[in-house]
Amino acid sequence: MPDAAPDRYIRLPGRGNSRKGGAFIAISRVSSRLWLGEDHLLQVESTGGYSENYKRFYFRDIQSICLQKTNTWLVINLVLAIIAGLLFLWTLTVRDSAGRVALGIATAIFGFFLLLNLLRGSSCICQLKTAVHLEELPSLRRRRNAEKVLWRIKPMIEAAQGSAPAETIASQYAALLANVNAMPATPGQFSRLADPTMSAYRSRAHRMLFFALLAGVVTDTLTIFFPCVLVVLLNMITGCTVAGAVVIALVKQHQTDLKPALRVLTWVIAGFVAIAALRPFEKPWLLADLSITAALAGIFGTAGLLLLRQPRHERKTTP
Amino acid sequence: MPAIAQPIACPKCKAVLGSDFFNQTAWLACPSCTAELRIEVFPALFREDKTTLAENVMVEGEAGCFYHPGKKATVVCDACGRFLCALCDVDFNGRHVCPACLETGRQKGKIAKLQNVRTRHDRIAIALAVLPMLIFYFTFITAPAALFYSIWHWKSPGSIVPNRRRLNLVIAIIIASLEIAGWVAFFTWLVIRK
Repeated sequence: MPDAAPDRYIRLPGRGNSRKGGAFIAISRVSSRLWLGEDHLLQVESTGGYSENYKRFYFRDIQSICLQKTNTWLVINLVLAIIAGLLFLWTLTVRDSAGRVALGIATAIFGFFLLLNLLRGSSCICQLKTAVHLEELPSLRRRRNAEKVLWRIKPMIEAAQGSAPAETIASQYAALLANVNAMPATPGQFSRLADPTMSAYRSRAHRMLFFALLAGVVTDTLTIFFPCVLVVLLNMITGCTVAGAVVIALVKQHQTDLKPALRVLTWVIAGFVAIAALRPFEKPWLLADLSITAALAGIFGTAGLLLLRQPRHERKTTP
Repeated sequence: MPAIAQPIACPKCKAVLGSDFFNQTAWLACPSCTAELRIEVFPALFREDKTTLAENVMVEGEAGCFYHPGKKATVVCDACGRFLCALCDVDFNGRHVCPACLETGRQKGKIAKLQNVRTRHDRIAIALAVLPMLIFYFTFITAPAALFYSIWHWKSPGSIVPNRRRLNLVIAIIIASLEIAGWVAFFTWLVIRK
């Protein structure tokens, strides 16, 4: 049963990568592009360039398209600008001509990527919802591209489904909300939609981690003022407990509905633990190192415990 | 049981959003997490799934479905001519087909609209011809292999989106031929030198 006529596709702006595979580390990177067909959008996912996977989103099935601005663009710009700036300052201080050339090239490379990122424009997330799935479109991670594509496909979706006035949509949506017993979120009130891919977070791993960090503050302080074998041993035990707790917390928070801020904080703590374990500064900087470590552990532990308190309050207001 | 449509939620915090967010030209802040959002909602969100039920054969001698003899046939498969009930009738590109014909078409790769995976033989051929040049001894084996692969897959289906499949295969053939010519020249030179 051959096709009546093969589809003609037009390439849409944007190209993006997504991770595939492992929970923490990507097994492979998949490059995605969007193509416009007569009655559908085609997402082409290319693995290594040698194989292509296709996902079709028919205009008649698209329920909603959601764009959300992200800070990725700003963060990347900031990191690249700092690196380029530091390299430039270093270039100015170096007297050796070969070193100056090498550092100049490195500065130019980071400057080029900074310029490239600046020109590509601000970032966003684009989600496409149908009756059976909610798909993020990796090729539309730039606001300019996402808006261009939206502007182009919106009339086609409306042609396939018909357009409804705002009042009709509002009344139908109110009926839908009543049907699923949900209330729209209002400022100050929290109402979260259950995500079927996420399980509820019910672990004490984060609480343990934050208490261990606060215990680390005590042992670090003791090490500064009463350095003896027993105190150093206690400090080592606390350090090991924190390291173990952070690993457990990272595992436990995976694919759960734990607050994004807490998830990020746990990853920051993991980085902090890794750097602190190296003890980059020995004498005469050891005291300063211990003081900074104790202060950071105190900040992280307190912030974590405060953030952990919040979900209880939020659960009370969830309808 | 038809699936219940889910409300629209903020992609960041999953908070349920109100209809005042929909189809606005400006970006609006999520009331829960203040992430800036722009949401386009279409009538498909409110469409109810209609479940088709096949009717039973009521009269003796009435045509029954090929796959469900107890069910009344309503259409004929446009591909194989079998009688189909409402349950077995698949509306595909405005044609009535049975699931078996659809599956056969998908397996044989005859229906591009059902194709979910394609191998880029042209890129494999190019890689086979070009990459081994980094350690050129390998080209002794890979050049004929690239030439054979390019010719073998000359008619194999490529990507379903516009691409330079034939051009890539031609480039692979030219590079592989040049590599083979290089090896032939090298061995000829060795023979002449003796």
